[in-house]
Amino acid sequence: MSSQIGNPAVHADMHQVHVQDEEVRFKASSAVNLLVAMEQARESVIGIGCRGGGCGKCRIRVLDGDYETKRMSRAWVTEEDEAQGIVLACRIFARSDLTIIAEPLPMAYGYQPGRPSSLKQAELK
Amino acid sequence: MKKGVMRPGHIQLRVLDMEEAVAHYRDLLGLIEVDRDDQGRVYLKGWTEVDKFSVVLREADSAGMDFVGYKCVNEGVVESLRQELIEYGCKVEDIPAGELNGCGRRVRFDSPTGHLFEIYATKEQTGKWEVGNRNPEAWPRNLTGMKATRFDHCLLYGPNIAGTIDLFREVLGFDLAEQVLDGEGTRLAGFLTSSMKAHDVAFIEHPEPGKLHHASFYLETWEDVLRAADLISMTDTSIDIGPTRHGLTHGKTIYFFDPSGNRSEVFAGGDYHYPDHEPVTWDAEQLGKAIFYHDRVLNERFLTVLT
Ligand code: FES
Ligand SMILES: [Fe+2]
Repeated sequence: MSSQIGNPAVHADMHQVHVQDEEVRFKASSAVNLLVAMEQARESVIGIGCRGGGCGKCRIRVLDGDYETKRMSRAWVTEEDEAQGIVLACRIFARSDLTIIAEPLPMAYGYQPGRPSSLKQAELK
Repeated sequence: MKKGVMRPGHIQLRVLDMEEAVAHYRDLLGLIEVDRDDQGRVYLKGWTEVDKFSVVLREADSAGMDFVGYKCVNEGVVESLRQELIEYGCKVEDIPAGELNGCGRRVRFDSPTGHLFEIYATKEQTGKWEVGNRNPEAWPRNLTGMKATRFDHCLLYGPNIAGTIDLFREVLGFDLAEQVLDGEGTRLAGFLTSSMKAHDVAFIEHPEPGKLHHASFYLETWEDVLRAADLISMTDTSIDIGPTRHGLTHGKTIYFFDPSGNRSEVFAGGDYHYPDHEPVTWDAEQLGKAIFYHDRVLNERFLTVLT
């Protein structure tokens, strides 16, 4: 299957994204990254930063579903993290319905638009 | 007091995907691609810059800044400042000539905020791109994108900006042009110049070391900033804020992101600074206005989205 990343001309599928423990669902086109899909749906459950895989603000964990990824900064997502489904939302593209949860880094300073509850959860690890 | 450091001469940025990055810096910002080296690094410059390059892109698995280098008037200055840096307590590394194509020896040193800086005096001079310096025309006709004229400055975040600001003032001879002070007189931000420009480098206090807030490029006019905003929309480039004006330095500006998440700025205008000028001071309560003069509130991204 040829990659749809960065190629909106390719037929885009729509997938449902469910945010675990939140009353939030939004639709994500397979042609745009998950963070931009969330912004287009006017949701705010994931932190919005650079939208380029560099700043770590949009760190999430995918609990269920398939996705393609682009390179993301290893400063925020280690290979181990990635193997567990921890990704930067601005660098993944939905390939099925997804269940996700915000996964901000405990060391990331200051504002985390993800829920305080998920910040606490990350701190406990 | 000036000690022979002239200007920001180059910045090396880490990018996650080289071709996407080149599309941003060359095709969108309108920098001129001047070279590539055997490490795969790409060299660019603004068209008005006389030296061979000012931006180096290096593909890596994280975004951010490797180092920023300042050009000195001659090798004697580099040698004496090298000694002063060692005496000041910096860890100093000698980078041999040719490590960057067309650049002479560089002296690299660390800083309290966790950033790496360099000084050097020798770089190949290829002249202003397509116009030269003999009966030069006003501008080259084959520029692209935002037609950025030069790499102007960067804003860096890290802990202990007091230490790095002291290093820049005492050892490198930069002047403090503007600052933000809190109620207790603690400096939260410092804007430093080695020239008459409102700033050649700026620092904001932040707990994570070695962070890049933005690399900035100069445009001639406010109209050019608006046109840059149009190009950002046309190319679906990730926007941060603007067009707007800064209170600090009063530059007219727009912030956006490269495809690896490094923030870029293009701006026009701004204040000037002479060595006898007292620093301009902004109070921390006015920080919103100091940063974004029209909105008068900070967006959270300004304080926390860094590479
Ligand atoms: S928003 Fe910066 S890494 Fe995703
Ligand atoms: Fe700036």
